[in-house]
Amino acid sequence: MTAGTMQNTEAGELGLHIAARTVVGRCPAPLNAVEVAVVLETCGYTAKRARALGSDGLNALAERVFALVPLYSSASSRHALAPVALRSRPPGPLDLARGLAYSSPWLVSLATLLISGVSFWSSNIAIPSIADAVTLATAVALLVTGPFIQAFGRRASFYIGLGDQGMLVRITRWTLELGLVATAMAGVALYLLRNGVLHAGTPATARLGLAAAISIAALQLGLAAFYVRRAFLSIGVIVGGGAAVLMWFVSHTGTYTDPTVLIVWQIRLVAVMAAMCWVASAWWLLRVDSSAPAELWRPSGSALLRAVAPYGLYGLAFFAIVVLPQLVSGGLLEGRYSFNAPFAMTSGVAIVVLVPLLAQTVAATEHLLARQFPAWLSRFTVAQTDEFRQKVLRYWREQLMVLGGLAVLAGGAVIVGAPRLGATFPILEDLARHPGLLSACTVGYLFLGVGLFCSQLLFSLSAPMPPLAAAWAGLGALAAASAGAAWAGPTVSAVAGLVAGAGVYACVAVGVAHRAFTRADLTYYRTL
Amino acid sequence: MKIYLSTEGTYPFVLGGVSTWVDMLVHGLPQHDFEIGALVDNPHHRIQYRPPPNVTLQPIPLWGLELAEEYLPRRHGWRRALRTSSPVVRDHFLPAWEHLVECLAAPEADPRALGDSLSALTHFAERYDLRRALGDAAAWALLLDRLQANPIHARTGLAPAMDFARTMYRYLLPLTAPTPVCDVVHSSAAAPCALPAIVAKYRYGTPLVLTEHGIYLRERLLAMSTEPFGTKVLFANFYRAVVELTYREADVLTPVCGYNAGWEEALGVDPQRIRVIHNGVDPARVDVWPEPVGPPTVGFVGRIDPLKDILTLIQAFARVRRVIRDARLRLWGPPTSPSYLTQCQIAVRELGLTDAVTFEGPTNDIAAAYGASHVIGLSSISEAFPYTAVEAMLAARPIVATGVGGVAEALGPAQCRGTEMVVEPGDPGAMAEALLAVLGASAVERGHLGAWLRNRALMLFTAQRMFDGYDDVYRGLFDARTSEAPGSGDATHSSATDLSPVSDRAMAHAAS
Repeated sequence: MTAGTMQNTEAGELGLHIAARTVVGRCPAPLNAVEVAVVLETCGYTAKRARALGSDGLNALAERVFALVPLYSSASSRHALAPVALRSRPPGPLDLARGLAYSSPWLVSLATLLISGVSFWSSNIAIPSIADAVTLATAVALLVTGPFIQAFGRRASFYIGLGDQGMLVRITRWTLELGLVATAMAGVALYLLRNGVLHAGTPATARLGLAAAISIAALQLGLAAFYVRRAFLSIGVIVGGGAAVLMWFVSHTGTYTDPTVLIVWQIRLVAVMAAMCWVASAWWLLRVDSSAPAELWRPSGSALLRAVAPYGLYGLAFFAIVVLPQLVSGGLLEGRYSFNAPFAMTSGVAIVVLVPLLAQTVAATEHLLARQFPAWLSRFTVAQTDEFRQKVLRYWREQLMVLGGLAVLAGGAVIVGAPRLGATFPILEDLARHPGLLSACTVGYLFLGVGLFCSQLLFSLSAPMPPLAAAWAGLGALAAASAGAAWAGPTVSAVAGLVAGAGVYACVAVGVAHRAFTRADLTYYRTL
Repeated sequence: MKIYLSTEGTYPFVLGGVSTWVDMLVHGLPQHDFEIGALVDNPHHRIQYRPPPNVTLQPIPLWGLELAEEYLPRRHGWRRALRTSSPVVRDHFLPAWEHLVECLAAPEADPRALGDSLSALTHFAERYDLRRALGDAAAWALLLDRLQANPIHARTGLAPAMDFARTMYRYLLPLTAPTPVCDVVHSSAAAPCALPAIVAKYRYGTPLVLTEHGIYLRERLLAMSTEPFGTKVLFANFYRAVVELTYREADVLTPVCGYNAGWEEALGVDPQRIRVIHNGVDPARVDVWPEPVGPPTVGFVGRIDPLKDILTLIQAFARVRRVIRDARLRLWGPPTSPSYLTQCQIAVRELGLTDAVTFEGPTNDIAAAYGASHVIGLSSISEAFPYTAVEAMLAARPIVATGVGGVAEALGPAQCRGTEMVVEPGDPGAMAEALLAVLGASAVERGHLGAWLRNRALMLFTAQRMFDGYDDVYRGLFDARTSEAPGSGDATHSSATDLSPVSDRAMAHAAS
């Protein structure tokens, strides 16, 4: 071999090592020579250059370079194998506070009630026919809007995740406007039934009930668009503004407030707040950027309906569990309805226990999906699936215990503390006369809160069928218990239904959630 | 004839070379009806090209939907969902799923096994709900089991493994797209968009044409080059298997350049099934301008993009400027990467070329851009068969270009004063030498070179020639099908693959 040949050989070898180093710099762990050839090409290696390096062509060069890759890629390829764990802090007080933001309209309403003795649509009105009408209106509004709000929430979140403002606007119009139309039709049906068939109340109270149903539904639906966009400040401004107006009105009517005038004012206020929500949605919240890609064609309505139906049906059952005891307490099982003031008052106070439970639900749900799951999935390997499952199960139990602790605190505060507040807040002074009723309603709503917690966690993992089954099982138990206790009177029947229904809902929900978290990898995988 | 043409991420939603090709094809062959199955990432796109009357469009979004029936015209989805019980999944889905998973998790992806499993999954998806089946506990358990049994995949993170499994549902969605009865199916890539075309072949025996504009496997490997090894194996196996399946089932492959044909042969395709049909340009769209008056100007028309390697062109121009003091470099085109544009601008400054180099920005009048240049420079490090080169040839402008992709095929043995116009990529010296040869020549010599290039383009790279080529392929397949029993594309096709699998050495190294 001549000196020149040796030099050429050495230059070729050096060139190969340079090529290998170049490849590893672009591709730390090439799979095979094909990938090496691809990378070499993008680095400017051609057949001519390959021949200069002593290979027949680029593929032949790639084979030789691939053989040298382990010399340069050892550390980087091992590093690339190990999963990089993300960190996640557990939910804290700030998360709970953010969770409370979801209940801001409720909290504002409660504050207004305690301070001024009135609320946005208080049913505790001196005139029974008005009380009946408003209660029935509220029931209709919640029952009809519940499914639409749940379906809207699901699909709107989907499009927000995709960044598709155009479809978000469309789905808002399809579901929320349809919900309003449906509620209006249900309200008209109720109006015709009470006024035309049953002749219950006066035509004026029937019209009042219709107006109340539509206003309450409009506000519920209007706020839904703000909730999915997490626009809590806007919610606070609208609802707080309404509360301020209401308190101003009450403070300026003198020592006596005509209940009829008051309820009309309340309904008008609700309608105005609803209108503000819809206008704000149309003008600001749901504006479509004209430069954004236009959606090419619309999804099939029937397929969309199939996708959101489980959520809608869950909403129907859930709100039925909330609303039906009110109606049963008024004599629904006897084919009539008369406002049951003690039950309405105690249940209206007991339901406050849902506030901290809802806050914990929101905090845990957001934490789980946005932070915790990605952190665990990044930490564990396929071989460590069992450890992953155990980790998730431990987390689930911890959250359940936190929820249980909150439930005990909230329940105790309501059962023990609320009746004692009668001296400070006159609206609560009758509570002390119904301790058993208050306790039973409190327990019922605590069950509801537990069931809601489990359901929302499963919804966040796109698993709607187990919560759906739990809610309908609860509704069935409510109906059965109410019917079974009908002999003891409407109040006992309503309480039995509430406790049994919410209890079964909670038990089934805990059971299915436990099953889902036992197989957390499968549950998460199924969010296809 | 009725042609089913499948595209992926291109026509009619995205501007680009493949979209331009489809648009030209459907306009240039008005005698045929085209049904275009357009795979897109999501259903929220603007139409960039207006389809002519002989085209019907069926977009197939892979993401942005929960149920396939939201955007695919499939009826009775609820019935399919109700029918898909756990026993049905166990008996009819799991066997095919198991084959598919084993294909993908193994070091070598057998295209025949993949084809069989995809065929079985297609039959399943006709009657049952694919999403429900994939979401079944048994399907996940089987996938997990296969991954855990493999020492490489067992060390993969749960996140990428789950991402892979969920992505499979999206990639298998095209199997649920309705495929019409047609005379020929034509896929624009050996990619998931080919799956509906393959389904049509399985179902109706329709002949399949494959046109590769870029080598899909090559592009996917590049995109995944920095992914962790375990993840890359899974996805690379899937893409490789789809590519090999498409190669196996295609009756005719019509790559747009010989460079692509070379890759296809290297990946195991029988050369007898390959027929190169170069992209063409309508000469009437490109005016021939007289040589500009003024300082010697090098022009570039294209994206300011790392793959175009503008930095090498700038460095080459710097050497030209040392010899020809009043030379200019004009760069037309939009920047795709702000950081790369900044790099180019810094290079211009550091080389003292700020008074000689201009970034002209995007232009719609490419003829004017060519007309303003004495020579066109193309310094790409990666190309398929660039329209830019053909357009410059039709404009009768001399071109100096790097010999990547199909560029050498386009320019042929073009020379100026004994210097070849095709140079090595990444070599500013060679590029400068060629540019100097052209700019140093007389106007008459440049005119002769330009005329030679234009004649070459008129002979080989016109739009009509391209249309005739595809029409010939379609008619040939149609006539063969109607006169003989349709072939299934198995025994006569090359089944062996020269793709080197994930080598034992690499697997052992990664597992250590």
